Amino acid sequence: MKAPAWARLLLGWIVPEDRREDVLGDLEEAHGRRRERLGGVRAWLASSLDACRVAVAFVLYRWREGESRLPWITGSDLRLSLRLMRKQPILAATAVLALAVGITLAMVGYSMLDASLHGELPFEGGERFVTLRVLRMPEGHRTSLDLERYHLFRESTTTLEHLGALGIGQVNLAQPSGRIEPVQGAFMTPESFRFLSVTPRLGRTLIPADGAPGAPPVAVVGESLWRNVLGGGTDVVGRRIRLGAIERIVVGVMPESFEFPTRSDVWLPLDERFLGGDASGARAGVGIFGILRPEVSREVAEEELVTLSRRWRAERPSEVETRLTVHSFTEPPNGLGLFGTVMVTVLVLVLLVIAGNVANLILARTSSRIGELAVRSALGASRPRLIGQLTAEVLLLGTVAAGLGLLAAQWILAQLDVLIDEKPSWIVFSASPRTMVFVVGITLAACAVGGVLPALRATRRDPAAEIRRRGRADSGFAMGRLGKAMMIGELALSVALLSGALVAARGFVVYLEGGQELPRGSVLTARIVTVGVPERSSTTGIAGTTDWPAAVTRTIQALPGVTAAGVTSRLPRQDPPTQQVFLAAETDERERELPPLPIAYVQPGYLEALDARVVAGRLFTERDFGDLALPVAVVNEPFVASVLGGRNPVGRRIRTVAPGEGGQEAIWREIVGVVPDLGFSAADPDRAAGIYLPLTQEPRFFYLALRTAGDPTRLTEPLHKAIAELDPDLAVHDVQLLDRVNWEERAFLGGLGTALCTMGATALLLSLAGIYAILSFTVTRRSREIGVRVALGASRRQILRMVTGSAGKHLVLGALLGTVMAFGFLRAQDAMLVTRLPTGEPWVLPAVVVSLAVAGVLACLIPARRALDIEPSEALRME
Amino acid sequence: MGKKGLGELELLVLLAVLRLGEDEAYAVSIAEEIRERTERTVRRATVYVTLQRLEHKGMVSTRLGDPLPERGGKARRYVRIEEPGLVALRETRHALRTMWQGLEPSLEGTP
Repeated sequence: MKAPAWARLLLGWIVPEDRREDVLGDLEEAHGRRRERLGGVRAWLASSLDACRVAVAFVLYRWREGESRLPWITGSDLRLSLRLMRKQPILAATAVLALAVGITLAMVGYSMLDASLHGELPFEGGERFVTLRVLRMPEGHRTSLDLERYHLFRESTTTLEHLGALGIGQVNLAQPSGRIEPVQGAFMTPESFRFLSVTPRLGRTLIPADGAPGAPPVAVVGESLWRNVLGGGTDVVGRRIRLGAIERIVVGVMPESFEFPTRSDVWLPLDERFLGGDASGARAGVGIFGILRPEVSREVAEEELVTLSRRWRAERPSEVETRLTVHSFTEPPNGLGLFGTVMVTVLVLVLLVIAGNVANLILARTSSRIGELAVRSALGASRPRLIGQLTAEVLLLGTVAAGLGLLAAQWILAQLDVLIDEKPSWIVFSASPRTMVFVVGITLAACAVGGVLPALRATRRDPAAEIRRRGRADSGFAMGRLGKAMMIGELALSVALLSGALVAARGFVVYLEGGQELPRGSVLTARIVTVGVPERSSTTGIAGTTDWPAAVTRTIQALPGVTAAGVTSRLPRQDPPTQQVFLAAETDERERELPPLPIAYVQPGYLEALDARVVAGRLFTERDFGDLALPVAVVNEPFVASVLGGRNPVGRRIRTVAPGEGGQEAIWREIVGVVPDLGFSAADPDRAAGIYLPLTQEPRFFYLALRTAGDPTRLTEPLHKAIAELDPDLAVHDVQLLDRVNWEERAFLGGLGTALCTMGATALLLSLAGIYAILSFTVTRRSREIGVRVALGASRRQILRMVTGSAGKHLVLGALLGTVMAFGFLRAQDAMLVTRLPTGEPWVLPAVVVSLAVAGVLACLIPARRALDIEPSEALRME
Repeated sequence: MGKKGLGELELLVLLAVLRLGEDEAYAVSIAEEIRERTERTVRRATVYVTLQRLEHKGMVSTRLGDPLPERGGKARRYVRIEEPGLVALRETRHALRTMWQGLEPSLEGTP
């Protein structure tokens, strides 16, 4: 078995000719010994590494000894390349643009991944901040740390300098005008402020006494809230502001740069004893964080806390088993690293395929320089010198492309940094030094593929011999196996990308148009949330009581102009979670389990607000919600069609089982009515069938839908006001027309579709440009041969087949491979998106393949016509 | 010792060449000889560079052998030590011996 081919290629290129034979022989011999000792794979790796070392050693030696400049590229090579670029500006511009697009995409992807994985808290000692994660075993679900262990850890830890708790959430700020404005709040154990090395802009930070029982309620506000809402005066300290149901004294203003745990408008103290919760545990959403002592590693701290936890649990065998882990504060969620790495790898591959195409263009062009290369070779230029000259041009193109890519990527990253405002504050999308190294790396890789490979190929044979070969029936160095593979790869990738893009774009259209019977322009929706104020008094508002959704509905129904209003767990197109569903036995059929179906919980008035037509039976009434109410359900038409084959469902019974529940305990519900398709899913026909059940449990948030006779947007202000008056701890979010619900998802689909379409189309255009360039080159090179064939009586068809045959093969292979890739790509895309893409778009792939064929024929047409126009007499005179 | 003297690697490579003899000394065997005797890993890349330097100084000369099938039909480049190389080795030995003289007891006493 031979040493790795690429290692042989590398050494063949780098090692001077007089030493090449023995060095390559040594490589083979050493590889053979390694194979016996280590086995195939390890020997392959070791020999590859070995070849790299030898190559570096030779380059450095020659450089130190002054025998040669580093990559055998001189100033005159660069000047010549510049002249060539000026001579063929379209080719240069195409290559630069293509490489720049690839570099930009790869760099944006890498920078985002890098920022997400390596974010650091932006203050001194930020790297010592850790978070505690608790998993409930054996299921592995995230749960919160119980207060008992929180206090045990605080008292006993020797590895942590501090243990505290924090949470974020919105709170309602009552403005002097009476207007309620939701602001971003952070709740924190006040002692934690001591470790944040921050000086307040005005007043003081929170202090431990603020979290003591009976302490007066205080707040620290952010600089932006202070300036924009509270007037920006120095007298703000000591002023009272109303946050939710509680009036608080402002004790300090934090500088704009302070963003812990995230950008916030107000910081509120969490009481140390209960962490905003009650005796059993911290308030939901409150997490535990710690600060490592200097020189203590995360692993050591974890070991200590796990030991403490184990001892604690040994005394309480009845406690649920948990698994405790300590993570860096800025560590992203599980799986992000892998997902991001896969994405970046795909982007780098796209770049390399683009570079492969540039290589084909350059190779086709190099053929016109074969005479020049022969002269240089005859004058004593070595192969590395010739390679250096040919590579110089691509290096120049690559450098320009990298510069453009860097600028474009910086701009895109700056836009994304502003657009994606829900990311943690320590994640800043910008080009870091690591990104710069990455860009240099991928540019060199692209130049190696785009420049060195064609150069190696072009100089494989002696250029003088190559000149003698010209005109003979031989495709010569036009396209090697690698070039062909890249051409096919690029065609395949463009087919896959375009198909995926078209399906995504089609999903967007389906989503926008919607097949559902929904009222347009007359329904206003909003999300109503109980906002988090840790010490909120349950006596002041209705949030937290079991009937708060009903209270909200009553309030809204009373607003002037409202014709119907109701609440639900999910609005149309929001893809409610699915549940296991069983259909009860009937006389002629046994009980059966249905595929998981989406279920929305609603209250009376909601379906009316959507103007739902009663197809059969009835809608929900107040009687369905009482303590003694009979369990009922309403289904939609797709349910009737897909589950019951169109038979009347009223009177049939179903049982729904939420994940984690036992199937047998679930109650049987009677189907009392049928409504049309009101759009459970955005665009997935598989999820059109669904069930509505009465909303009876106390939710943390729900959605409101209200229908009006006139323009519903006029009710936005009255809606805010009515909800604030009902309970200051209720926040109203996302007030929008029903038509705009889940707009972001649709915009994302649209954006993704456009981006993929652009990438696919660019890849396709580049492949076709490559095919054109190569065919054009082939016709020029084989003019004499074509002339001879015509003179000997070859038909036009035979000439056409001779010229375009290989391009045809590439197109067919590319289309086939692309079809396979497209299926995989669509599956991946499907898994990535929250909203599933529409299935059953059988026209997309054939359409893309046909477009490819048409475009391919066009790319072949011009060179083919030139071939057919060749006059035998002229062609024979050419030599 | 000559003006420039021998570096440690040059010394090791020259000694390995001397040990192996001109019919057995080539880059792979030299690296292995040093590894077996000194238990130090010397990379082949380092051996190439050192040999080139020694050749440049005229201390060794090289010749290509016959092509061998186990080397993919490629020949070995055998190394032969030349007179300046032998002189350099002798001078280095002399210099080292002089420097070692009288140091054994103190080295033995060191834990």
